[in-house]
Amino acid sequence: MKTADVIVIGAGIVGSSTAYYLAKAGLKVTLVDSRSPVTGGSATQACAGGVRQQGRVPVEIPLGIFSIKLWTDLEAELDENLEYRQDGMTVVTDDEQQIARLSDRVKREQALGLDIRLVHNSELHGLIPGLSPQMRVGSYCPTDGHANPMRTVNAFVVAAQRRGVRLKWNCAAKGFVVENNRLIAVKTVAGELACRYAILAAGYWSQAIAAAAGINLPFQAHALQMMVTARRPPQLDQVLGWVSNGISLKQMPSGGFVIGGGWPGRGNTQTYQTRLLPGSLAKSARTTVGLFPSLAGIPVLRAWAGIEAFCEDEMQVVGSVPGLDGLIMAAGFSGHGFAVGPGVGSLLAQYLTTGELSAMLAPFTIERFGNDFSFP
Amino acid sequence: MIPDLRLKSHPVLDVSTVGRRHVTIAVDGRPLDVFEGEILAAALWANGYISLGQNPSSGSHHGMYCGIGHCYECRVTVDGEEDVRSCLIRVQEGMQVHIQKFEI
Repeated sequence: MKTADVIVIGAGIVGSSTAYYLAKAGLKVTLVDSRSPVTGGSATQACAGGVRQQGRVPVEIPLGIFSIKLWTDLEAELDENLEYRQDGMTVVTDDEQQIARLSDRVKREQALGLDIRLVHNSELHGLIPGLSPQMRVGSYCPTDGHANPMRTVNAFVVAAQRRGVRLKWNCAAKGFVVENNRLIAVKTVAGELACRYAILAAGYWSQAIAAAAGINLPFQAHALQMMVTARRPPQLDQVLGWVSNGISLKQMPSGGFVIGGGWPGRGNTQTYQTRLLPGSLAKSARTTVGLFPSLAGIPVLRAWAGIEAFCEDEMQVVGSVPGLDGLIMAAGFSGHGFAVGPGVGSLLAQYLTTGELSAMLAPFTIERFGNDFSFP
Repeated sequence: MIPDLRLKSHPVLDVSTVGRRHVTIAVDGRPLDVFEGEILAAALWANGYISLGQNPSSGSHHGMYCGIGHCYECRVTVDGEEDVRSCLIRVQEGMQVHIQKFEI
């Protein structure tokens, strides 16, 4: 007897949202995680919480736009405060050479239907009081924003449970039971769990699980560092980015500024332990003060890191695997999975119920690697 | 009236307060009689200032946790300087301490 229609492996933003939307679509779902949701060292834990559409590769823009439409109603959908703010995001530059490139990107994204425009000098500084006066141009997308990743994943998990999803923590997946090229169960440390479909959303750790089924995911683990400052009165509504400087900056509703942007730390994928690199922290803090000078002198309260799966082309792997009926990938989001997580979950639920893979997910299938994805 | 929460005896440490000199600091304007040279976090705790602020989102309290400068949970405003870790500094006569309140 089947224990579930679908087993979702990994309770981060992608797995938890997928489990929720699958259950909403009427499927019998079990969500498993090797530990528990958003535990230390994982990708969602290291997430800066940006909910943006801009700055994605062109093929991901439609997925971004679709996902942000879900975000707009997500707090009502999940009946939880996600600290979601849709106050816009602007990526700025002070570099003459970058202005043309930023302008090209904005035009490209406008053509794809994104509400975004270039803002200059006084308009830019009017939109973002406190921005460094040296900044000259920015790409302003009013429908971008930010949210609290921990709250969001927990809300998806709780809402999924309300809709009947079974939760199994401390239940690491080890591989799959396959009969006649068809997946019939997930092997876990707690035994085999029979299912019709398995969705692999375990971030970097998806690689080892897929390898057990002879599938080669071209992932590398990168530990990304984050910082949060002491609280200050509200002074920054938008998310700020700085072209070519690897900074994303936002102020949380509780008043702390979160500084992210992909600064590297160290991570051990076996133990999930991460180590911060003080030089990297100092440099990102200095750079951030250059972007938003009033941050100078505010202490950094905490810094942390988590391990993200970076795919070789920095795009996620989503969808079915040829030759292995029943396994569906949703991993390798390469540092940009939080905003699109709900969209991917919703579209995967649509895929499993209708058999139609949305065109928005088509660019991300494993087939883009040709035949290289399976081990000889 | 909050009782003095300091240890009265300890099997190893000398916790005697006999003969120690006193100084006066102010916490949110209220004068507080404390021992000269005492760590500020200890002086606050001993006088009932265990909550040193609240998270404006969740309402949960923070206060001295690690006692060695790592966790930043004991931060207060001292003589106008914000976010001073009270576990890392000693009281001084006339020190003006404010518990940080953060309104959204």
